[in-house]
Amino acid sequence: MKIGYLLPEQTISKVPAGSGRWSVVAELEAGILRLPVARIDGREVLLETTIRLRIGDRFELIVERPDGQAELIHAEVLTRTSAGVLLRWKPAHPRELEALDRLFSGDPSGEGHSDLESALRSRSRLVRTAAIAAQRDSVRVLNLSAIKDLIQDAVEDVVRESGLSHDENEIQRLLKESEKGFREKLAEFESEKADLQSHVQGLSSRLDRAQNLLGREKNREVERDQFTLSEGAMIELESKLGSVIDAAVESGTVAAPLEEKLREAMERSLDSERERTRVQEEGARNENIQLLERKIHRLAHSLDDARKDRDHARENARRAEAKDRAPGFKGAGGDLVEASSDDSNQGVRQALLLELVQENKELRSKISATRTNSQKTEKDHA
Amino acid sequence: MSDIVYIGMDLGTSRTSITTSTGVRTTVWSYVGYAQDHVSRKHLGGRDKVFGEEAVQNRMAVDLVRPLDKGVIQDDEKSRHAVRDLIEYVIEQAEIPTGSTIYGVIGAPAEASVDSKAHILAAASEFMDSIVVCSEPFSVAYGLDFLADTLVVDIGAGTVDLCRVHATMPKAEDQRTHHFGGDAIDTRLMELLSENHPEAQFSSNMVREIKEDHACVGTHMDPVVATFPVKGKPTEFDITAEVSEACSGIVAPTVEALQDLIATYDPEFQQKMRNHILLGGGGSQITGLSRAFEEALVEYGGGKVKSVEEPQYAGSNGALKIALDMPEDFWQEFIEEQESQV
Repeated sequence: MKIGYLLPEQTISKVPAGSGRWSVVAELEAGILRLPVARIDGREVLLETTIRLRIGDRFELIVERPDGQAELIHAEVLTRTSAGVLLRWKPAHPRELEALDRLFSGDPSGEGHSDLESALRSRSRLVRTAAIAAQRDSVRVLNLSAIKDLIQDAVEDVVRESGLSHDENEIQRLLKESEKGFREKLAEFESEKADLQSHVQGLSSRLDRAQNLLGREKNREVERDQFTLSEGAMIELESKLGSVIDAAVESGTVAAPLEEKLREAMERSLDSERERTRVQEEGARNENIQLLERKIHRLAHSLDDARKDRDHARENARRAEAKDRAPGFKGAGGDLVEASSDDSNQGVRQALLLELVQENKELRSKISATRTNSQKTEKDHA
Repeated sequence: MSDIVYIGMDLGTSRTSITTSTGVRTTVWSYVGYAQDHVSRKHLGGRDKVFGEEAVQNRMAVDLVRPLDKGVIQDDEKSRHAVRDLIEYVIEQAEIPTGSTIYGVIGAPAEASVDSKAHILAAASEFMDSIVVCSEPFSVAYGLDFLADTLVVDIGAGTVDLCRVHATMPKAEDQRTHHFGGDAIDTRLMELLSENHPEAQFSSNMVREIKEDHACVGTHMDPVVATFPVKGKPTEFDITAEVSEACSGIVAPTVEALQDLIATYDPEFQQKMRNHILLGGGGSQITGLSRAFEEALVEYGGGKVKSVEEPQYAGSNGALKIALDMPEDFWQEFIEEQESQV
């Protein structure tokens, strides 16, 4: 069975493109039939037909999307139900896998195709040669490469006529200008990097200091001599008041119940004074800790931001340096591989390729060393 | 100079894929079958060897070799010869115009030894003019442009390779490998079927086909009904539970290796890496696997896992991208080195 490629304008199939429904063309015993589709996805297709296809049979189908794009894919009959015949895709070649992708990707325009030829191919329609033969005695054939050449010639003519070409002097001037701009940018990045580096260092040392302070504050014992009275002064006061009461009792001027009350009052006052002092100091300490923690949080945040800025500046400078060192770095495909603003990974990719090459060189050295050793061993044995 | 054709090749345990700069891509099962005698040669239509699916289908008539079994080239003459033949066959399938200069990047299993890589280089140098070997997970990451703070999990048939990519070539400490891959799932599934349905007759290829069609992890899966002969009579079996259990076996060792790689990474970027986990390889097509990994990672702080779009070609596409980006000077350098060795 032969299938031909035709551009849409040349299509002589009677089936209208863009009929609003998916359809499938299959060559069956009954002839070449266009079958309506009840359901279709990347896995299978349900055809609305009462034709009794044998389960397990494989067919080559032309699957046509509602927008007219068609692809050739093999499918196998899975089941027959009252709803129709269910076929599962059985691509016979990787090209058919790609065709399936194209059909269900929702991208009829061919955008994303790497070249003109594949774009043309994706916009062309598949028509069976039998269908062409049924309607025409002869057809004019233009192969894809000829169409491609014609389009490219036409584009070149338009570019030439529109005066977009640059002479050698102009190219040199543009190159010099871009190089000068580039060097200025590199100097800016370098200075930005240095500023940010020193900013990061300043922030780091402030953060360290704050963390040390916090550590010290947390570890500090609650010192009770910080407010009003020390523990010793309290004891001294207690003992002095005790002596006064003792002297008064000995002189017989204080009755026993009064003595008891005086002692209780003194102890209560001293205890409450101790507790008040402790609570006050604890509160001050907690306040200090909270203050330091807030400060550390703020510093850490600033440090993170500064590090990010520094890394960004470092990456910019590194990329700019790499470009400066290897202005003619060419991809093997022949195109100049330029780091563009929207391709932030370009510098990383170049560095990775260098590493990969280095790794392969080392691998080859190891292999040749192993070979030399084994040859030496063989010689020794001989 | 003749036209240059760039190729990316993914030499896998179960499948070998090739993508070329001429727009061809194809994949072949990594099997080579050699005719045993003149009768089997006649059966093969006069051919001495067959490849891929055809070799497996004719396994009774051929001496079947799986040269990259368990993720590395087996250390015997037969396997080395088979690797050479497999590479030759795959390049033939790529329909490269005669007389072209071929520059190729070959993705080798992550844990391939220097010897294995040497065999690959030696075998491929017969058919390519200049060759670079890289690790498979790295080529996947390169192809998808995930070059920093990314974890690539390449679920192959023989091994599951995990690789940390952080804007530098992965070193040994950036890679982990465990052997509960597609083949181990097949083995486990066969064990479960033998235990639960001892009357059923099945082969490893039948089990593999079932797995490829229905592999799923999780409790909410479609019923899997398989037809196996019982004393010669085709009989239907519901093997949903067995398929689920066998496939789930891959989760624990992979999550353990993932966590190990994350935990030993710079703490500042661990969270970013957790959210950049890429699943590649044939095993990534197991339904529900990404979600199963994400659920298992919750215990360790969570993570986001996604599967690459074309697991079959992710490695070879990435290798082709490396080949296209590689400066011409480097290719020339390897050509000169190769010629000096000859």
